[in-house]
Amino acid sequence: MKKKRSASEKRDRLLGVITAAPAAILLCVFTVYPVIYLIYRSLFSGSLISAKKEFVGVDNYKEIFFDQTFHKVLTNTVIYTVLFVGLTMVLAILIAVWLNGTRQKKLNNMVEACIFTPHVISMVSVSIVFLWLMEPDTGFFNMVLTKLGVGKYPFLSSPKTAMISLVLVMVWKSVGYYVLLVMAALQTVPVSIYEAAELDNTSKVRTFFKITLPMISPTILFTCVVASIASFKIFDAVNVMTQGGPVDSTNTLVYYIYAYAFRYGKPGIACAAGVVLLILVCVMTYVQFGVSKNKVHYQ
Amino acid sequence: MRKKTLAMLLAGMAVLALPGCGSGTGETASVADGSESSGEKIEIEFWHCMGSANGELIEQITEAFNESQDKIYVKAVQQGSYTEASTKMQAALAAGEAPVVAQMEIGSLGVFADSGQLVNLQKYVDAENFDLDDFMPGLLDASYYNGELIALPHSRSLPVLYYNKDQFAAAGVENPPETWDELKEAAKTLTGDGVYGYSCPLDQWYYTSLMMNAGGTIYNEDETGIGFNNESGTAPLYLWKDMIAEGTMHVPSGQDYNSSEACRNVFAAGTASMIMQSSAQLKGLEETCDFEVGVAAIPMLTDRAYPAGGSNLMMFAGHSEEEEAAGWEFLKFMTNTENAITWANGTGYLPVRQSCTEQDSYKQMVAEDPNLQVITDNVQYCAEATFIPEYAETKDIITNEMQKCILEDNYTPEEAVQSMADQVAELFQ
Repeated sequence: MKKKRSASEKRDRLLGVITAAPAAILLCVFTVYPVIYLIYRSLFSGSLISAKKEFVGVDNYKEIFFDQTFHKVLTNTVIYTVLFVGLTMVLAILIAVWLNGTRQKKLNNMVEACIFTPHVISMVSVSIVFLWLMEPDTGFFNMVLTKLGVGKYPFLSSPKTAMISLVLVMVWKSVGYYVLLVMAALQTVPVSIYEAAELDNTSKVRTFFKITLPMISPTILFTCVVASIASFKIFDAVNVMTQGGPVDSTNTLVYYIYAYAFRYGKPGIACAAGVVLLILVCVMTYVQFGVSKNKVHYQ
Repeated sequence: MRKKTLAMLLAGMAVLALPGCGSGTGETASVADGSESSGEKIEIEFWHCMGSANGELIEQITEAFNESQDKIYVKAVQQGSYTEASTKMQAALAAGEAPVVAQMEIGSLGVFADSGQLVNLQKYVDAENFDLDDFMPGLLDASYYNGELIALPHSRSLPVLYYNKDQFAAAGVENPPETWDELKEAAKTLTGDGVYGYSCPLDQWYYTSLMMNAGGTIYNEDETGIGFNNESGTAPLYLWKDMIAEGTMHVPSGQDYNSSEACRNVFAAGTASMIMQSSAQLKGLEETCDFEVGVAAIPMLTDRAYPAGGSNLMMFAGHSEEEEAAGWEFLKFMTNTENAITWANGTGYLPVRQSCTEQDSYKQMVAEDPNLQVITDNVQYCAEATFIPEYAETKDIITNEMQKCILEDNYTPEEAVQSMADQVAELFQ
């Protein structure tokens, strides 16, 4: 009896290993190994294509920690993330609640399609179109603003306004996707709770804050984590629209990594910055899930 | 092996971080579909960075090479902008899949040469008694690294001043400005009624041009720092600051190539009467503008010198001797007098050989468009170029500090140039 059991156990175990193997191998090859190599390579100098490669210890880390550009890049990335996630989430929740409340199906579908469309357009095309729209002298936005008597806005051409312009483009591009996620969550809230609230004559605002928001909070948390991590990795829009400028005002972490790896020929520094990015993303995920334990309602 | 894995890693990071970027860039396709070869034909790949009309022309010339003989087949592959191509080349080199010949921006020369990835062409020159002296003086400088010949001049350009002849006539300005004072005066006269006298991208190339015309050099003699930590560095910034304050200079938005495009747009729209741009833009501007376009040298303060621009043809190491020999044949063909004229005529890049100017086809070309002669006359002032590996970073430092000085308040030209000097000096430590 004992023997039989262990045989089946063995079989189960083998089956487990076999079924898990493809995923595990992919994970090792494409995630674990690169991470280890990233850390290893961050300890060396020398260019990507050069045979000269020297062990320099933590020099690359020292260099970026004392590099003022790196400080600016980190600040920029955090500012971008806060602005982007904040704006996107507020807008996404408002639009989703509104769409969920309207009874007109046709209008609903149309608005949904309109909001979601930017998400499927290539980031590069979006960047180029907005580059034209935001052009200070000949662009469409300034034409409208001048007509309205507001006067010209510098958009991407001034260090003061470049970052917010970039955020607006990214919000426009991604808000539709998050609206869909929030709407899916809204539809899972049991109607009975709303009916109970209605019987109690609860105001709409109170219903929103006391019922809707807590009920969809797990989704909101998830989207916040995903959006934050995505915005820490912003690159395409920066690369096409601003190249980090003017005066590094839109230079972000991944663009910095790209510049050092491929343009300045210093992949060691790029890898060190990559390790910093890795740590930041890990910490962010950890903190946000920590918060969720106390603040989030799971049904 | 390690280099390979790093390339994979970086490529992987890029894929993770930038979805939707760089899609559909003609990956090195499989061997040319059963080409009409007898099996003995050597096939080599040639990467270029030319888009639209220029891209078609460079592929036509490549095709002409393929038809001119039956031993070598060159496959031309477009690799995007100079920056994109340089990025791909580094990844390709690390993975051991570099093409034999490529067109690369001259600034990236140092990065490739320093790591020993370029073939020294001197052996072919010596073996064939190839006449290097025929190349325009000043252009060949950007082909040497540590005394080794590692490139041939191809799509070369220099910064020039374009001006709107109609607006000049209307404002009563007779000649294009030759000095900075004349530039200021002309801009003042031309400004008014929604028109700026002058526009120039806040890009290091144009700043460097003015700086060199004020007597500076990018690096000092022993290459330990910048060579313009003096009045030659601050003077261009004061010039621009003054002109912006007077309302006679328009500042195009954007960075790098974007700002140049914005600059050309305001010129073509008649919103700016004079702009500084690459000589390679001549044909494009002449076609777009519905007024008569004039070309003049960049106004000078004390000297006449320009930083070289454009790209060279290079041969990359790691290929068989036959492939390299084939690459050399192709290099010679691309840079021969006839093709240099075809290329210059079709694009506005400089005719790279002196013998070009003696050809009837060139004379006819200049007769049709005297602007070309102005550009050719200025080639001699292309200053000696230093393309050390630190060049890419130096350029970014210059651009950043210069923009900070122009766009932000309370940052003087002296502070900006000192900061450039400090940061560049740090690169050499």
